[in-house]
Amino acid sequence: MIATRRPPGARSLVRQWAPPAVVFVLLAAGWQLYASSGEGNILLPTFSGTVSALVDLLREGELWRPLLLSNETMLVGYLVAVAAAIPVGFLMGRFRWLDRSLDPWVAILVATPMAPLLPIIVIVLGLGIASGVVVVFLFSFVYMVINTRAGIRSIDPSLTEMARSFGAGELARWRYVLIPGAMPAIATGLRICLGRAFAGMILGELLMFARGIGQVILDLHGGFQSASLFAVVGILLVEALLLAAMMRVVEARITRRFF
Amino acid sequence: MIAVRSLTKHYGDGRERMTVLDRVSFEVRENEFLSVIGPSGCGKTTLLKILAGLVPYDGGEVLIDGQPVRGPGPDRAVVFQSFALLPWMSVSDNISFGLRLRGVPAARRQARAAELAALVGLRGFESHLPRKLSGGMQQRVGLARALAMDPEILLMDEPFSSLDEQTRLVMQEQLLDIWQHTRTSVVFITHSMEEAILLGDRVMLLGRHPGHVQEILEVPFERPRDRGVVDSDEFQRLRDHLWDELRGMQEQV
Repeated sequence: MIATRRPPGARSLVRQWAPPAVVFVLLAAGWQLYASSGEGNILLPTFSGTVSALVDLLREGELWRPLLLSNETMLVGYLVAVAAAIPVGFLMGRFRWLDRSLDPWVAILVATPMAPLLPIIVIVLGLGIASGVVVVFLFSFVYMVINTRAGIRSIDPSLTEMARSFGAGELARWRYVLIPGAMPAIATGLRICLGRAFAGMILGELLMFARGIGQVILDLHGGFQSASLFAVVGILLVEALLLAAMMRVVEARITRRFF
Repeated sequence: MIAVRSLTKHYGDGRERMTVLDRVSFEVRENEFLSVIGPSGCGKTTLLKILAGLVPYDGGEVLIDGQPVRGPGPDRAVVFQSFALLPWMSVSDNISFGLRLRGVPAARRQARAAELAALVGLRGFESHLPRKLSGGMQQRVGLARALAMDPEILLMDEPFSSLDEQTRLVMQEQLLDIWQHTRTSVVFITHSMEEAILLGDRVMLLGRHPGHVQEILEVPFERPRDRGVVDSDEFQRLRDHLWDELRGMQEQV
């Protein structure tokens, strides 16, 4: 039976956003007080200082090129990771013997922190865009595999049995049962992996190859421009939140369609 | 029509081998409705899957119109206990799923699906998604899907077990009605004695440890039938007899 949902009225929107907004205001106020009091580190900017640095940065327009550069790298790495991981996840989910062979590698990739691998990547690939893409790829790939595989495994076995009973061959099973059935998990994987790709983008640039927005951060840090530094970090936080929010919507839409 | 001779099925091997079906033999005649009942573990679901061609067997013969069963085929269609509808397809697409697999063009599929939706009482629900339907309605889709194939044999695996009692009773009556129309051969697995006698021309009682044919009873009621027969003495006698046998099996463990 369908339950109709009324669109959120003004009052319920306020009720949803009021608690986090209150927390934000409290944190900002606390930060402002602490930073202005002189108790803290001399480099710690105030909240108001950060906001004005943010306004300046946005007005100057110097951030857009580095942001674009970094995001391009992230996008390429992410798309390659997704395109590679989905077939691998499908096959591992479908064929037990393949899963047994490849699972140890999956476990290793999940357990290994990526940071120690960065110097190796730079030695092999240099400091250009290729390294960035590879880092993003490594951050995202294995999680997409895991989610895709889980999607295949989560399909009700009676559905494949039913399809077989009506004469479905291997290809038909993929087309009508396995792929649609795995879509919700794939959607979740897409969301999680974009977050991972974002982290990979930033960490790669910060730790190794000073490009894009990572370079901006390193320069500001080196120049002790802490208010601007905090402002840039704030911008990245906002981007992370926006990406996460967008992917949640995508995930919800896909899940509704296939479930 | 269906001839099963000395059918044997094991699971596992070596020391852990378990015989699930032990030299099961029976026949299903043309247009006959055979109910199959037995305690859990008697292999009735395995038997159905073997007839459907979904599961291989280790010994004996399973012949349909003289041909041995080697896999699923268009002559048989299954109705599943858990309904097994594809959640991302509409009622109409679910009903015509088997036809789609056979390459039947879309217009013809839609028409046939509409026909069958009407037959099972789901006219107007063709574009609904399964999650919007009650359990009884979902199983009617399952039944329509099986009938869409025009099968010679309908294999029904406890199709009403997942439904509440009231819906079950309604579905039993519906099935009796529909079967009057189509008159395919049916092998109907159930654990309800009333259901087995009410629906079947004969009732096959399976025992377990290992699974075997204990007895096959004739059901003397005429067709068309309705629930009225449940109150008759003959019905009670059959039911009591089945229960005696089944209770004995339960106590054996």
